[in-house]
Amino acid sequence: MSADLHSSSVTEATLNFLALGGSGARALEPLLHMCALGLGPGRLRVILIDPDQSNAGVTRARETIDAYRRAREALAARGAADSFFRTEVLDPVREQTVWSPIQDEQFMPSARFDARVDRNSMTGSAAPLGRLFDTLFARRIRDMDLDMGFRGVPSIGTVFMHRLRDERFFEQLLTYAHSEGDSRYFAVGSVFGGTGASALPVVGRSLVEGIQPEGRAADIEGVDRSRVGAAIFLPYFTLPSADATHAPDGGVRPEAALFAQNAAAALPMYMHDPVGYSSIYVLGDAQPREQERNAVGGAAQDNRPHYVEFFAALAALDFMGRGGEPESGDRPAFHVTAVKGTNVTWDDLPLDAASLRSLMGGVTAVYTFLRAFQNGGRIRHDLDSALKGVTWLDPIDLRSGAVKEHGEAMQRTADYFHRVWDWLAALRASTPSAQFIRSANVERTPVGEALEFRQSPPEKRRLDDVHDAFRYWNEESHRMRDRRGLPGLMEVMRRGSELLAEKHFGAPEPGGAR
Amino acid sequence: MLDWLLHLWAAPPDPLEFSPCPPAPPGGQADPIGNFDPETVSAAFTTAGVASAVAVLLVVLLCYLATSKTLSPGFVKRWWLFGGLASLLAAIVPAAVLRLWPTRAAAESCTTLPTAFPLDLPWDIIIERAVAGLIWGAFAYVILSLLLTKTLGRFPAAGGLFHNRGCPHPRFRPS
Repeated sequence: MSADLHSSSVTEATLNFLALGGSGARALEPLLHMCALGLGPGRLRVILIDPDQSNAGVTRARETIDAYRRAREALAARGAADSFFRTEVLDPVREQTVWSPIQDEQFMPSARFDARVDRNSMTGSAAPLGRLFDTLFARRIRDMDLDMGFRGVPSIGTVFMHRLRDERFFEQLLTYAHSEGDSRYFAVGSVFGGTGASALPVVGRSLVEGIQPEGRAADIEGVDRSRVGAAIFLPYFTLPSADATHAPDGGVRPEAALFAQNAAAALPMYMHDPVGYSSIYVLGDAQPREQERNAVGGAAQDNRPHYVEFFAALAALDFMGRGGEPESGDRPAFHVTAVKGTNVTWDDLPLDAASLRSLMGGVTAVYTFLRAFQNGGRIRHDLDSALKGVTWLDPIDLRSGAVKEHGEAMQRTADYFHRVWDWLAALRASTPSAQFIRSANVERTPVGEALEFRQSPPEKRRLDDVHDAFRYWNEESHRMRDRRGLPGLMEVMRRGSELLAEKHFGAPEPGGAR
Repeated sequence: MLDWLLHLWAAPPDPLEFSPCPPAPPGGQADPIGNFDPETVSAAFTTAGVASAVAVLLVVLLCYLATSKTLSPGFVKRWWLFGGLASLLAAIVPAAVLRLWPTRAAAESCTTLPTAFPLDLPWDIIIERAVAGLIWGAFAYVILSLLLTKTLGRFPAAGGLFHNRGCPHPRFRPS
């Protein structure tokens, strides 16, 4: 696996990204960050599937989408959204980004599982069905409040997940497939939890088999299997012991001890059954990280980012870059990559040389932008004087004062770049850690130490001040003749930062082996 | 005109007199005033002027080229610091040249010693030229900086002149 993120099958196509459950939602964040760095697909259509709409992962994903859109809109209004923030993020139908398989019963007074399946009405001729239900699901599962998610019990999720086929947005999603021939569908979820494990097979099959909408004579055909891929998470985290045996509602809690068992039980299905996916990227970690708390859904389930989720985002882009899995047979193609040693570094990323260079350049740009243009989260008030006379301004016809005139776009870009940096810092602080940046503190980190070296730096120049980074911007600005104003600034920042990454941090040279 | 450009108000007077001539043999009377050989004086001043210009040019090049910095408050401070150095050198260098240059008295200007005997330039002339150099150096530093950044500074191959071409124009204040 060595993804080419510059291929036209990525940059010009649409990715329909289905984030299933909490882990799937957390994989969306790095995918959006890749889009912000100009390394995403042409268009990204996001569907989050989670019954627990207050889940911190879902909330965070929504906030990240909103922040991304705000930045992109502000840049696009000035014609500057074709470098960073190039990807247009779309809603499947009418701003519906999150779908809950239990949302149809939200009017019901009780959110308990037995109430949601209307157990009380299973009498008379339906009594055997009721008894079967009671046999299959223990009391503490029947009593579970589903608003807190499926809590590692996929058998509950399966009961509701098939409703996907009746959803308007899903119908629309399949319709898009026939008008967007180059689009790809990619689902991400865990096989050791509840929502992801129950949604993955249903989503894959529904996409490929198509649906027959109610009241419509004709079926909506499914998507060609070669265009549908998935990343499945094996247990990559564990949970600490809970304070209480049961959840607040008396139902079950997710149990880390069952994660491996759940995964082992689920995997054979992906190997032998027609689950719809032509490609499956199996992701895990030999040293699962223990989360800080054992929360049962909701805002408290605020797990820290993990590099495995980043690999899931890269898997989606790799799937696009390869144009799907055209040669797939009846069974999915499984993709593997491995990390050398304990901690992840730049060299462990499954990217080709050009894409790795762009990513390192992108992260360098985020650092430089935050260091040079903002202070304490706000665009610097003294930006005019700080940039006065700077060489890279001339070729793009930008006066130092004009940079501040683009304040809104700059501020929103800074807001989003802060998210990227915080995410990188969280990865860095994890155990095992993803060592892409040296320190979380932008202000106190010299330019020359912003990124972890990929190898011995080829250039020994000292880079202390952020203006030292501008040296590389100056050179790229001089070469660039076709961009002016804010679009020029964004392009200079991209190219100049890539040059800095190449010269100082050991990023591969342009045109390096792919 | 060239003299004014090189030395401002401190161009060498022609003729440059000195007083008194070497003492006469006992019983004789020394000439009250003699003249310097104008050729040696002119050569001393020209050398002093050229040496000042070279010194200032070197300081300018050192300021812009011997740094990996690109325009920043740090570089602007550096530019001012080097400006001071250029000014100082433009005072010291001509003073040293004028003091050490082998100037002579004009032949036949002293009847007591009609040969062109060696004679140092007087300190008041040297100090006046040094003070003029102080001002001249500052001006030359600014003009050379502008000239080089606006011409060579347009090309990346010019290194620091390219990366710092915004100093001194439009930016001459550190912050």
